[in-house]
Amino acid sequence: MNFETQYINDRQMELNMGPQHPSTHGVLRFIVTTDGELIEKVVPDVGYLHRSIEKIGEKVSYHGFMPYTDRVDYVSAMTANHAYARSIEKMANIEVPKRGHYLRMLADELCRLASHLIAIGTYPMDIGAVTPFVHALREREKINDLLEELCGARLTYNYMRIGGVSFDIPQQFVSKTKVFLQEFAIFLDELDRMLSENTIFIQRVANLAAITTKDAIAYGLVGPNLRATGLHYDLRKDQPYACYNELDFEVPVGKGEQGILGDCYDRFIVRVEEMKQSAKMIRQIIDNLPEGPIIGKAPKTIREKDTSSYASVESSRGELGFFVVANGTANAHRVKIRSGSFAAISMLEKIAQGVFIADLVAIIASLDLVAPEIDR
Amino acid sequence: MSVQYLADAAYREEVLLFFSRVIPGQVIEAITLFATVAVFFSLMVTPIAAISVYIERRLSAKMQSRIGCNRLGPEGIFQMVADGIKMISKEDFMPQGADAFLFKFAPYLVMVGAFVSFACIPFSKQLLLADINIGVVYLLALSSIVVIGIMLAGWSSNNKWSLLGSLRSAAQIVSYEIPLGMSLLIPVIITGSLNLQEINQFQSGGIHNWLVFYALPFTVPAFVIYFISALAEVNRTPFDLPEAESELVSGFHTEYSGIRWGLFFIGEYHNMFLISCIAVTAFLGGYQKSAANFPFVIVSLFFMFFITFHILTFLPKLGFSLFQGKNILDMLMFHHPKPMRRWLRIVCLILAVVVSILFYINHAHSNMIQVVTFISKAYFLVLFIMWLRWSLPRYRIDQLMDLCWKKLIPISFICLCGVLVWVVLI
Amino acid sequence: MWCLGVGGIDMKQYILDIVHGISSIAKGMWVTFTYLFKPHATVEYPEVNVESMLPPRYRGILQVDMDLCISCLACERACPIECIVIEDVKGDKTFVTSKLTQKPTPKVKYPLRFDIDIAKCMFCGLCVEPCPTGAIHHTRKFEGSVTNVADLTYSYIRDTDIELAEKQVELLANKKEKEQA
Repeated sequence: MNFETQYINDRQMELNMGPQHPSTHGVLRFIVTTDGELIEKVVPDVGYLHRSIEKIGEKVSYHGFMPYTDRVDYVSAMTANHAYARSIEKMANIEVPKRGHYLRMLADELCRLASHLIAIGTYPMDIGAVTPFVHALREREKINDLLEELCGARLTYNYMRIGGVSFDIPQQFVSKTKVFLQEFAIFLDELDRMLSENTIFIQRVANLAAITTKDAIAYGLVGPNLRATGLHYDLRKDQPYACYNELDFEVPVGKGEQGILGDCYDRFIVRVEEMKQSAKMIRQIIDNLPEGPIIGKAPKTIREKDTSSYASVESSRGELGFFVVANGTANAHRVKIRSGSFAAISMLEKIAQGVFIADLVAIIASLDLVAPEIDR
Repeated sequence: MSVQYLADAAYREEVLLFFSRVIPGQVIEAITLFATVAVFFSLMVTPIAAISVYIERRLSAKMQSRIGCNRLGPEGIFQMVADGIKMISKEDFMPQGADAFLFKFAPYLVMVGAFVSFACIPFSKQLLLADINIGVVYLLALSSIVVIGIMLAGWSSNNKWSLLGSLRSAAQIVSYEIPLGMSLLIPVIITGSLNLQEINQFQSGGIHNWLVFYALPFTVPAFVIYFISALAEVNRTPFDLPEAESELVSGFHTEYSGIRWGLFFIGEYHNMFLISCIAVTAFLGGYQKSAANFPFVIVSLFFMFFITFHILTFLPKLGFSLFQGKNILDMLMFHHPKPMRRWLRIVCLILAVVVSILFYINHAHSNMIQVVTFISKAYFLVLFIMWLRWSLPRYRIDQLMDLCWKKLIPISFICLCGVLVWVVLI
Repeated sequence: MWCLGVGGIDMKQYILDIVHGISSIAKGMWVTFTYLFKPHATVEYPEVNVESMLPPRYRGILQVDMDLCISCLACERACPIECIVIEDVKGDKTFVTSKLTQKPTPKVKYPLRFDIDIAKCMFCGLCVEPCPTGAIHHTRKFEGSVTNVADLTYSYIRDTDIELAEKQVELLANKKEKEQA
């Protein structure tokens, strides 16, 4: 904390919304220049959660890097596993059987549900309503239980392998998932009644920090943030991977229901709708699981020479991509991770001008930033 | 005996006479005044705040499908004691550069504003600490002292976030005093007196005499406006912007720790109980006998019996294990919580119904019964406030002001004029 | 309403706002109210035996069955965080029945040291997969906190293993002598 008040231009105050703060999602620091309660400038300061995952990629083998990809975005870890596995399979030309693809999709969609539950749970909590957060976490615990039965861990799954997945679904998994989906539908209905039509919530959130599609594309924004601006862009539909073209689902797009198109309310509603679509997808997947092996043939040590490959998946926060450069040794030469939250936090400077400090917290929460993805 | 001391003026005279033979008169007066106040607060007011803390934790947990604190003692009621001990035993420090005197003085202002307002609230026909003729004005004046306390706390912390919180709170409290005052004027107009005891006496005789139903199209909105403004006065969600947890850590009391923070905390719960008491006194009939009191009395008696039975089943276990030589702290801390048997709960319910019928019959004869009626009604409003806190998000500062100046004040003006017309014509 | 239209206030919208506000708040509060009567979702941990609730695939703290270990060092190579340390010697050949395939597996090397640093281990399961006999496996134990960090390096070697290793080394040396002679 600064002990002397710093005045810039004799009128402004510089506040430090520091790395330890009950609201920022992870350790992020913002240096906020305000005029009383109105914000004039926000500068994000990242790097407090840097764990040099990309450097570790040069030290461990291709197979051994898989648990580290969990930690890139620990809120939805399966999607990171998936992206890395796709990148290596592209580089080494490894085939994944159909059942492997379906199981990967199942894991992805369950993780998307889990991640969006945290997003729409912490968003009202930052605005003041604490109860939806606890309910959302309760549902997320059920998803964690399901994934624990599937692969043995609750947060850092390490479920996918290069060439497929590691475990097949256990007994009673299908019935337990169906029970969960029923309870989840009840939860979504309650959430709508508690929040989506609540006048205080709408007043806090609508017309706030609207992003135009042009700005979003210029900054490289992806994921639900981009779709809330009105653009219909989803990697699962536009560059389909892993049998997504066999599933029947829609991609929710923001419509500007309660205010300007692309405001915080749209981002919230897009995530809620995405959860409904994910639930639909999960039902289709577990009803139509094909038979067959779950993992394809992958060499024990992958040694590629002078190639590089980039593959990405539609994670809960947008396009999560891994760019891997190989140089003939058992380890990669360089692993670069592209995450959606990084672009979102760079947009913050532009959209958080002329809002109140209370709104700044709402904007950060609506962009669904997770610090591990930004800092890696 | 202390209740009789508070209630009966003749008894007070007797006691004073007895002591005045030994000690000079003015000293006795000072001591008795002090003693009256101390007994009043320690018996009636402070336990309510302590219980409110515990009930808030259990209630919020129940609404969030989890268990609250239920480990320390039967159903966790010794948690209050543990919290108190923890607060007192914390290190006392001040932030560097803080204004020492103001920093230490601010919590007391907030506490005083809450505590002293209890002096004019009639708990029963005779239990009234100070029969002030301008009770309503007294209450409004004391809420302004709370504003000073909050602003001092924010400023003296040498912390920009606390400063923001306290400025927000000052603006909020000062603005919301207007609809509060206007909606409290309505009982004054109807009864023609500022004295809270007389406002209460006006409502005797049953639910049809309650002031909230007096001029229906105007007093019901007045009650709602009073409730919302009072919520804003005590910084309670959806108006808890000054202590917004996710933005300002704790707003104006961020830099306070230990018992200093404890004073703010207890002050908030006292304030909550205070505004419920005023609402019940001015609008909902106070301690007067009425059949509509039944649900509240039954529920509060049920919980009282419930906790009593829990403690009664816990004490033999505790005694037995002490007899065996186990450590008392171990016994308290590693107590395995078990829910109460169903038949015992039904017994509690039946007992509560029977006792509340007895209360209804003997209402006029006993101060205790009137106090129980009053506190159970006021506590129901406190529970309602807690329910609001855990269901709603909070307002932003400009929306808060918008709500006050553009919605509450015009409607309270309309209600006031309407009641004036009603009183004159009907 | 004509008299209140001064200043551009839309009266109908004003009243609709208030009505919508109160109704939406009441709806939200009703949801919270219904939760008062639903059972809680808490698992009361120390009283409830959580370990029995865990699924069989749960990746808890590792356990090594030294009778099955053939010291092939596959787990040491597979570990991405290098927390397994194995030292072994060459000895006479024996056979161990693998738990996974129920077939006899030859054992030519005998471990003298098998340490896993549980503090570093990230419970990824990459060491369990390549093990040919199923010696190293996850248990369902997750309560591993100790007061001394040095206690977190689990050592799975027993005295009988060291005796066995020494005996097999002797046997191999005898065999070699006999062949030379």
